[in-house]
Amino acid sequence: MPDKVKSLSAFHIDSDELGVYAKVSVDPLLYGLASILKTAYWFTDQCYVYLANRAPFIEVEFRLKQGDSEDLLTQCCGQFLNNLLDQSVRQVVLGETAGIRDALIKKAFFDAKAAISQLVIADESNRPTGSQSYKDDPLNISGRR
Amino acid sequence: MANTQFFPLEYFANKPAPYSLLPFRFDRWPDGSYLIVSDAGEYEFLPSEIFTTFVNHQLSPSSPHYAKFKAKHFLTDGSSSALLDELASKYRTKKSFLDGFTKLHIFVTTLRCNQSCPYCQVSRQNEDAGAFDMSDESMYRSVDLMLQSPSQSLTMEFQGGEPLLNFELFQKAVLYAKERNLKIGKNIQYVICTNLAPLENKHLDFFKEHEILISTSLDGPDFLHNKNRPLGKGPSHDVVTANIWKAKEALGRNSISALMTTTRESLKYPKEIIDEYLRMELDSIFYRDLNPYGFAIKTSSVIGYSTPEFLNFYKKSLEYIIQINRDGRTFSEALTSMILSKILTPWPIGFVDMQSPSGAGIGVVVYNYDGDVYASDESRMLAEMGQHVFRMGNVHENDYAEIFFGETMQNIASASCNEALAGCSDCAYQPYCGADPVRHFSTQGDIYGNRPTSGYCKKNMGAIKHVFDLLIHSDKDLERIFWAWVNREDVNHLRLPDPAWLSS
Repeated sequence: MPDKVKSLSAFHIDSDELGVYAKVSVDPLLYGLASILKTAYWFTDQCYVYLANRAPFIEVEFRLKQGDSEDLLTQCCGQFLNNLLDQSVRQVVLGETAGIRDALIKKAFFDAKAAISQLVIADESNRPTGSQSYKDDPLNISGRR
Repeated sequence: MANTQFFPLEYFANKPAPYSLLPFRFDRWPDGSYLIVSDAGEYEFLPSEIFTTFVNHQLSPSSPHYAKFKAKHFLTDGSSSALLDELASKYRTKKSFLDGFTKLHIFVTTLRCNQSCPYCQVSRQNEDAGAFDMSDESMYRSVDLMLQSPSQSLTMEFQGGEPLLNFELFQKAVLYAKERNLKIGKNIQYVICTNLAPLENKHLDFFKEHEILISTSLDGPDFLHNKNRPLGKGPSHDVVTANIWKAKEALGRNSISALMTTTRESLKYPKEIIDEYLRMELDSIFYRDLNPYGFAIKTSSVIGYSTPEFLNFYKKSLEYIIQINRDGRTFSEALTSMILSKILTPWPIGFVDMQSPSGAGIGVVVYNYDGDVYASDESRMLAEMGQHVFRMGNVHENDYAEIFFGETMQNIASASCNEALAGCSDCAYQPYCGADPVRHFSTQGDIYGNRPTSGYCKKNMGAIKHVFDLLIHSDKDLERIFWAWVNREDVNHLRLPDPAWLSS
């Protein structure tokens, strides 16, 4: 009789003195650590989430904040794995476009320069008199770059 | 010459062109389709197979999606810097609310109030508690600070307590601002947030003379409004509605608007609330959920509700409002109109609660009755609860630079950009949403906030997704209604371009 085929995600559900928990193992080389962390983050509303490095895999452990429904935990693990796929694609897009996003924001706000302080403008004593020239620059405005 | 072998023509036809992806975020919808959103807020819904083809750089230039993606800056197949210029221009336009820095200046002229609303966020004081009035000197200094704002256009808003209980100071403040502004030449709009209960003819005369707009509160029909907003120990609905009519008659229909605060009791009456607004000939309603400040925290077990309950109420109400518009009466919902503006137009909206960087300190500032300056209305509400985290300074102790560029403002700014917040940075709805460090500090004890458990996130994402859902399933009639709301036009007069003309 052939060996029973094991789940590729190494899904596992069990209990200990803290209650019921579920675990899945994922390959960080395939998904990327950032994707795993970002996906796990969104499960912190209904679960306590624990991650462990069990090389070559990352093990993700879920415990429900309320109740001990095994069905709910199973759903969490399934949802986690699907969300992980989407998050991995997000990381790919982010990797491909991060440079251009930085360039875009720099370009968008390139013209924004620090204005001369309103206090300087508002203070009438700073206005040049008839005997002064802008070249005198007593407030060293030209030096503020 | 050797025989040169060429690939046949078919080999080149429909071959994916080398293109680069431009920045976008996405979300997978329950039906399996994908929503992609650019940094400038432009969007497309795609079937999953097109999405996969697109992100794998396999989209053919002959695909109808290709030209659309290129036009909306989801991909580029050239190296022209003009494209980046155009995209940067779109992005800058979306962020143009930053031009001029702080525009909304709120003056808390008194904490005294004649009402005893259970959801009061500002920890009101009794009507005779004069110690909670702003002094003349604090007011003058506050106006001077306001006029130092770089923005050419300002809104000077009076809040309380009930600002009409300190009418003398309100008058002085408007007149002083006007006099000082003669030399400065800014455009200043004046708004008073009042429950209208103490309204007298002398108030209306002053409002008319100085073009002051009124923002009031109307929570629905008498049984609901009276429960939510008692006047002393008695009802307030009759007084408020009578004074809304009076103000409309004296100042014009568009000089008064109303806010509605949602309590647990309100959730039962979505239609009745809207019918009351229609009866009062108001043109829009703004559903506000309870804020986690002041008395609203103490009474939350009685009047509070969950975010899904609020969203369910919002959706039901919106359905009814849409039907009213389909029947020919122009009546809009403010949150929906703002979300639609963000989705459908290149422009930002001036709503400080839903922008990134957050409006706290950058878009709005509050001069409290005691001279303290806060980053937002909610910041001073926290201060009344003993939390002075968002106190930017004091008008008697600090100058403009110390207040607006001091340590408090630096801290707020660090948590103000949803582009850089955990959970938000990858969110497809980020360009339409905002950051709210003050609310997150209040509800989670952390200015950065935890998105998975954030009510702010759940509410905004729920509302934005619902608006998208309505948009993608809209017929021509609903599309026309939405554009009328965005453009503030009459639904019966707005005409959309003929799609046949557009596609020709």
